[in-house]
Amino acid sequence: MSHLPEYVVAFCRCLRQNGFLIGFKEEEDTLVALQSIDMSNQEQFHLVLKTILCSSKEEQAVFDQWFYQFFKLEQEREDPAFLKDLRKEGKQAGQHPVKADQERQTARGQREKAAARQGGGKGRESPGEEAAALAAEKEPVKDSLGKALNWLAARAGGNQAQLTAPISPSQLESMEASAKVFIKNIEIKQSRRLSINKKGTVLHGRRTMRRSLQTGGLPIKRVLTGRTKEKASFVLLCDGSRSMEAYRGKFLQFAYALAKHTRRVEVFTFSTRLRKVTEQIGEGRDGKLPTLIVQGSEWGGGTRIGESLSSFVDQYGPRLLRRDTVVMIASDGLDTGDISHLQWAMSELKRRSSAVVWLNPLLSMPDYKPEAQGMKKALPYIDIFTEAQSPEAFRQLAKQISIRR
Amino acid sequence: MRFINTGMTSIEEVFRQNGYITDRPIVTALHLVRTLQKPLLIEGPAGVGKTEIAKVLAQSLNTRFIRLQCYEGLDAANALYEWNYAKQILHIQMTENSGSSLSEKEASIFSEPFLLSRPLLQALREEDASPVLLIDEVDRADEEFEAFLLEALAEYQITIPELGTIKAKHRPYVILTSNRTRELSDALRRRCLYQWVDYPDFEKETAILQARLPGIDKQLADQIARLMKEVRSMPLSKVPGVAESIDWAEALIHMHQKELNKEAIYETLGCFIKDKEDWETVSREIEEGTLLNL
Repeated sequence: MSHLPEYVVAFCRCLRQNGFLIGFKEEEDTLVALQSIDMSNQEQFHLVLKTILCSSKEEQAVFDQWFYQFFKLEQEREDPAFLKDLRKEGKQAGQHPVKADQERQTARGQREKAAARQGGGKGRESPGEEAAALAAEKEPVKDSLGKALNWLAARAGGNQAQLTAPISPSQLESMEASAKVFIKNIEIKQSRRLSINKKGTVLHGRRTMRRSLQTGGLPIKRVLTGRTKEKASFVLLCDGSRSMEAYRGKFLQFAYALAKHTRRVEVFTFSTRLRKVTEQIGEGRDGKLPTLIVQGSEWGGGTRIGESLSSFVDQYGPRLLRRDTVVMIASDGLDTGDISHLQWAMSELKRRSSAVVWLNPLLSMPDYKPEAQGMKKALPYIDIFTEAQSPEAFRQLAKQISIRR
Repeated sequence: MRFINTGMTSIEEVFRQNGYITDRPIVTALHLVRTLQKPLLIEGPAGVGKTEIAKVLAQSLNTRFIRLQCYEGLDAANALYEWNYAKQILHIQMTENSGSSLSEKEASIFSEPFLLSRPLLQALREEDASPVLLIDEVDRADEEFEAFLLEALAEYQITIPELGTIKAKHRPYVILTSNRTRELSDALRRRCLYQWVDYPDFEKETAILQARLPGIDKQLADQIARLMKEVRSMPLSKVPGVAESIDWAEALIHMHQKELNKEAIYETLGCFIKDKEDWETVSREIEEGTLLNL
């Protein structure tokens, strides 16, 4: 037992290296706590260490593995089978950095994800792909590690997987330039009403007289009126389902670029459920690009376009659907949900907004015909049905959109 | 065993008496709260009995239970202390002609009778024994409040400029709960012991139902627990917790149902399904018979 402090300190160090939040205080606490229990009881020993050294659910899941590996103890019965596999592989391969790196990322979860992915995960679009890429790098670990990751991710968000969707930095500059042009080029019919406007052309006599009182009746400053230019507001709905994997990143990048240059943008993602991500899109810190944290039902799952769109109309419609709203939907129209919802939602969108744009990446295939049931139902309500993959295409798109009143 | 002798069994026993079925991890965590005097952060989905843990802990220790419910916009004034402005103004008006000096007046209005203690201060000023301080749903409070909380929990003392520093005579046992609607800061996590509470498994849920509702039929409890397990595996937007199963069981008892059938479930669906879409999903499952074929 005299070696116990050394063991505990070594174990803490091992955990710390793997991303656990452990400081000197925790080591001390562990030793104090161990004094108060019966250490021959393995279960209690395990629980005490787990309670003190873990600080989130993800860490708890990874902790067990490290614990049994470190103390070379037999694992409990209820232990998921894949952890055993993981341990076996761990023993065979000794230290393998890829796995440790992966665990660290999983364990630290959302807290670190943005930073870690920005730095280390260039070009990886989503954790699914990341796991896949990792599995490809290390063939033998493929199955069990993938399972472990999914399991951990699934546990993280209650019953649903928490995923991340980073904004890709490639071609970002030209995308931003396009977004600027896009915003500028959306044609809006101007109101005929005159109102106070610094750049106006018509003199506002009454206001000028009144202002002249400040300068002793001498009209030094003119007050002008003119037509105010009305600007469009945008609602972007991004289908994040698995079938959209290749395209959704581009669309999100466009959404980010748009949000950077105008405040009248609301961004949503949906897969089987709708989620507003406007705040997250604008949240990139320290000059880094934002990484969206979404759930499996909003990203990377199946598609329920109808349900998602009608929940948008229900929840956000009254506030966001106005006469100057341009609704942009990016989806392949492969709906697995109830089609009747889609029809209603699309008719409402058309009625209450000023333009409905549907970007379907499948249109880039030469012989694609919109014959999927969902797409068919939606078509009559769409003003512009096209695809836009490159910054240039988005720029062109603006010219097609004209706001009807 | 030493572990048992340090009051662990007593905690477990009182928990059982209060109808709270607990397991080893929670008992261990509470034991550590007492030995290490560190706050305990409990996370888990809604309705799994996180708050209840703190309540029962207070009962088992036979001390006062103080609760601080967090919400968006909660600030120090509502969590710590506040001066009773209305009373102070009244006091000034009433003593206007008493002839006392300015400093006397000041001293009198900034004294104990004019201080409104909020939960945190109450917990620190407890005279007799360590109270249990529950900081409920800490994820709902703003990040600024979290930082303030850290400061208060680090030293267990608070300085009120007009009165001086108040140091806790007995360190309160602090339990924080979170539903994970927002990620808590690393600093707070590090300061706390951590426990994740999940939905109970089938056996535990049956035991909970029986402990909470002594009159319940064993068969009914079994059926409810099994059906709940199924329901929780469905893609619902609001997954029912243990609180809902207890409510539901109670409703069924009042309806004199000895076992579950289609009609009974339909009539009482509102006890555990609280969302229109979920309602449709569950009733579809019932209609198809997948839920009842247990």
